[in-house]
Amino acid sequence: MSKYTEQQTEFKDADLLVASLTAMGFTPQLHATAQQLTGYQGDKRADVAEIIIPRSQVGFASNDIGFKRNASGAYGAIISAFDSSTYDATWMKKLKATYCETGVMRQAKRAGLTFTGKKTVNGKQQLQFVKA
Amino acid sequence: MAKIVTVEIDTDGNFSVDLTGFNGKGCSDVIKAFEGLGTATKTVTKPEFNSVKTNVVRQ
Repeated sequence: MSKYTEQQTEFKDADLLVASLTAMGFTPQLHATAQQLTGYQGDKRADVAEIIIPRSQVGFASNDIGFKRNASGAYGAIISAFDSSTYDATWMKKLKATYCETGVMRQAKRAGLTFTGKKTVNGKQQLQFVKA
Repeated sequence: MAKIVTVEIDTDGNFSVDLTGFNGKGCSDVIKAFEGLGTATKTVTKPEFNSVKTNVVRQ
């Protein structure tokens, strides 16, 4: 048989999320237990997260950006109101696409698939693989 | 027939996986490899191998 499936990307894999943020130019911190985020004045915030982009990488007078593991096991972003003008929905979509592509390549390799090419079709990235 | 897997990533960062040329269990194994990346919202068994067509929609 052959199958077609549609998936809504979720940040479920910490290592993959870290790799995706790294690919986007950040050096995120990964903590085993959630740590407090730091505000633009060096103040410790009430928000905690396991994956943190330090404020020095976020921007001038910015706050830490965090990704906190929720009850479902997926990581949700914690972005301050000030920083959300830059790290907006468009940025999140780019992060999701990066996470998705990085994850697809990794999982395809694990499944024994051979990458044969990538192209853009109607604004969407198409990755093609073959299985021996 | 060649076993081809096409993954399409849309502008929202969501994706679809399209398998052609697979038989039996191998099909599900490949789908399973990508499941950890998100939540399935639609799964269709394609009819070209005379299989019963099913639609599974999960939140």
